[in-house]
Amino acid sequence: MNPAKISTLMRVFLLAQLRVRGGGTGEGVFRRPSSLGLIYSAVFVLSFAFIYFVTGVVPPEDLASIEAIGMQILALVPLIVFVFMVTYGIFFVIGEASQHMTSEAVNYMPVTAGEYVIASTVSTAFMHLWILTGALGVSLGFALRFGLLAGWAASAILSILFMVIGGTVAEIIRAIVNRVSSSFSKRGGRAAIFSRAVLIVVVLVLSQAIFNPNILFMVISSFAPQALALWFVPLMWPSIIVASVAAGDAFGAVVFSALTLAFGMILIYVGVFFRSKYWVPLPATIRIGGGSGKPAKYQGRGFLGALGFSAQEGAIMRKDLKALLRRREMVRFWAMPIVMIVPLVATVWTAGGDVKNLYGIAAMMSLIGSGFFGMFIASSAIGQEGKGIWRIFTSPVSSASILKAKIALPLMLTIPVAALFPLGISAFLNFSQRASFAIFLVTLLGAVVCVLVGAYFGLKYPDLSENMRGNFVTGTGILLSFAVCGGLCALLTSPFAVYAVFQEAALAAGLNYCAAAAITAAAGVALIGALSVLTIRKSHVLSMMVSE
Amino acid sequence: MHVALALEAHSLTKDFGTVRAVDGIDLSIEEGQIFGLLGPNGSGKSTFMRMMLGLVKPTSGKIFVMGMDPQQDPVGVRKAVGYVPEAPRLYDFLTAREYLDFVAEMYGVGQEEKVERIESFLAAFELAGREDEMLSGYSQGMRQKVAIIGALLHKPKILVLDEPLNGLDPRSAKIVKDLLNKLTEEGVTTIFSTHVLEIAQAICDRIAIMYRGTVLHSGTFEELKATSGMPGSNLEEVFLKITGTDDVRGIVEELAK
Repeated sequence: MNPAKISTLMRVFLLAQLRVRGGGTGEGVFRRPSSLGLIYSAVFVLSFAFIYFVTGVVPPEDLASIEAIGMQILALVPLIVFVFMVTYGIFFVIGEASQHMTSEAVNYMPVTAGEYVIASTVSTAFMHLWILTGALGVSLGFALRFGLLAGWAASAILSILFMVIGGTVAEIIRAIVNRVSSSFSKRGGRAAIFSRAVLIVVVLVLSQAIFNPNILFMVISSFAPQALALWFVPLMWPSIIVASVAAGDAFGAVVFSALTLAFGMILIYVGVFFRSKYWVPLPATIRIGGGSGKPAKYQGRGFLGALGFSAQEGAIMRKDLKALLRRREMVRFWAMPIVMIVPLVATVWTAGGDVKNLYGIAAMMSLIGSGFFGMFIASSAIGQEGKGIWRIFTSPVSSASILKAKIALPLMLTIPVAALFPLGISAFLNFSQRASFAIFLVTLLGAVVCVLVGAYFGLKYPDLSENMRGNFVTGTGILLSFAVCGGLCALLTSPFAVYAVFQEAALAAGLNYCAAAAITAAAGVALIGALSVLTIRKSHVLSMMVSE
Repeated sequence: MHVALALEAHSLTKDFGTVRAVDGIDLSIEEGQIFGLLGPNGSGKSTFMRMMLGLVKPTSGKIFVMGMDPQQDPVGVRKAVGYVPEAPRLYDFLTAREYLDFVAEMYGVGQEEKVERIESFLAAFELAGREDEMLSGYSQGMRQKVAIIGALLHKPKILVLDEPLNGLDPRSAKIVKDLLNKLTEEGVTTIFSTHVLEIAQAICDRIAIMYRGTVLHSGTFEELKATSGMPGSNLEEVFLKITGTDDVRGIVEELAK
C-alpha cells in the first residue's frame, strides 16, 4: 500500500464526486474539497444548537420520554450512518456517475485493489460526512442536555467506523453488480436490460421505503430496546456498546468494540478481495436480436404514422423510447411514479379516517406520480441527446418536428399513467364517482401541464455537456420545472380543494361541484394552450444548440 | 463555361467570444471534386464544416451549399449533405442496425433501399455479424465505420467528412478512399479534413490549407507546390512551409533530452 498514491486517488475521487453534484468543472466555492470542512462544521453546530435549544424548552413531565429518545438516537447513529452509506452506494451503482468515478484510467494504472478500495471508501465517506456531523450534532444536543457524554463519545467513534464500513460494503456491492451486470449483458440481451431496469426500480423503491420517516421512526422505536436480544448481528453491536458505556458496563463495551473492529477489518479485506477478483474493467458487449440479418422492423406509416407523425418524428420517438428503456441513467425517470408515491402510500396508511385528508393525499399521489414523471421525461428529452445531438441536427428535420417528437413521446407515456393512476387510487380508497372524477380531471390536466413545463425548461436549460450529471437539464432548469409545476398543479387543484374544504361557503358563493370541474377544465386548457405557445416559440434554440 | 459550385463562402467569419475561429474565408468548391481541408489543430476546419451544415451561425459573411443558405434552408442543405463529425458520438444504447435504421428514416430512405444499403455497407466494412450488438461495445474504429455508413446511406450530393479515416483499419480506409473516388465519378462532392497528408495528396483534386481561421492557399497540389516555391516537394513539406511550422527540429531535440 502506498499512502501517497491513496491520497492522490482520494483527491481525484473527491473532485469527481463534487463535480457529479455540480454538473461541471467550475471553481465555485462549494466545489472545493476544503470548503466541505466548513459546511460539515456548520451542519454539526446548527444541528447541535437546534436540538439543545428544543430539548431545553420541553415541559418537565416530557423530559423522561425525550431522554429515552435521545438514548435511542445515540445508540442508532452508527446504524443510520451505515444504512445511508450503503444506500448511497446503491444509488452510485445506478447512476451514471459510476462510469466517471471508476473511469477506465484507474483500471490501467499501477493501483492495487487495496489502494483503490481504501481511497474510494474514504473519499465517499468524506463526501457524505454531513450525515455524520448532522447526526452527531443532534445526538450531542441530547447528550449534553441529559448527561450522556460518555455514550456520545462512544457513539461518535463507532459512527466514524461504521461510516467506513458502510463505504466498504458499498464497494463490495459495486464490484458484485459490476460483475453481475457484465455477465448478464454478455448473455441476456434484452432480458438483461429488462432485469437491470427492474432491479433498479426495486432498489429505488426499497431505498424510499427505508428513508420514509414513518418507517424510520418505527425502526428507531422498536430496534434499540431489542438490541441485546440481537447481540449476534454485527449491525447491532454499536447500539450494544453505547448502551454498555451508558450503563458503565466496561467489559461488554470492550468485547463488542473488539468485535466491531474485527468486523470492520474483515469487511475491508472482503472489499479488497471482491474488487480484485470480480471487477470487470471493460463494459460488456450487449447483443440484441439474433444477428440473423433480418430486415429492419419499421415499415409503412405504422402506429405513429397513423397518429400523424412523419417518418422522422417517428424515428426520433422510437429512438427516445429505446433510450428510456435501455439507458441505465434513464430508468429512474420511468421509475419515478412508483418511487415517489412510496412515502405517500405510507402516509395514507397513517392518515386516519378523514376522507377529505384522503382526497388531498390521493390527488397529491396522482399528481406527483404522473405529473413529475411527465416533467422529468420531458425535461430530459433534449439534454439526454448529449453530444450525440449532432445526429439529429444534421438530419433534414425541422426544429418544429424535433420539438414535436420530443414532446409527443412524454405526452404519450404520461397520459395513460395520468389516467390509470387516479382511477387505481380511487378504486383502492373506495372513493365516490364524483371524487374519482375530480381527481382524474386534475391529474390528467396537471400531467399534461407538467410535460409542457418540463419540455419548456428542458429546452431552455438543457445540459448537453455529458459531464457527470443527473438530470440532463441544468440545476436551474430542474428547480424552475419543479416550482412552476408545483404552482400550476396547486392552481389546478384549487377549485376542487376550495369546494371540498369550505363546502358550505363555496356553495353559497356559487361554487358547486360542476362549477369547480368547469373552472378546472377551463384553467387546464388555458394553461396547456399558453405553455404550448411558449414552448413552440422557444423551439428556435434547437437550431443553434450544437454550436453552443 | 459555367461551372456548378457545390460550395461558396464569401468573407465568412465566426467568432466564439473573443476568439476568431474563422476569419473572412472566401472559397469556392466545384461539384464533383474531392476537396481537402488541411490545417493544424484549431485552424478552423471543423467550425467551417459546421457552418456548411448550419450548425454554427456565421458572425458575418455568407456561405452557400448547392446554392442554398444553411441558415435560411437548413433542412434543404442537410438533405443534400452526408456529414461525419471529427469525433462522432453515436447513440450507445442502440445496436448498429438500429442506429442505421434511425439515420435512414431521418433522411427518408425507402424501406427496401434502406435494408439493401445497410446490409451491403455492413458487409463491406466487415461489421456483418456484429450489427445487433449495442454500440456501447464497439471500438473507436467500428464506431467510425458506422458513422461513415450513416453519412452515405441517403446517397448525398455532398459529403462533409471531418477526419473520416480516424481509427479505421487499413482495409476500411482503402474502402473509404476508393468509395470517395467512385462517388466523385458519379458527381458527388467530397469535402474532408485530414491530418494524414499522404492521403490528401493521393486523393484530393484540390486542397485548401487553413491556418488560424484563414485559408492561406487553395488549389491543386501542383499549384500549391508552385506557390510555395517547392516544386520537388511532397505535400507534407509544402504544408509545413506554408503554415510556418516547418522548423520542428529544435523541439524534437529538446524533447529527446
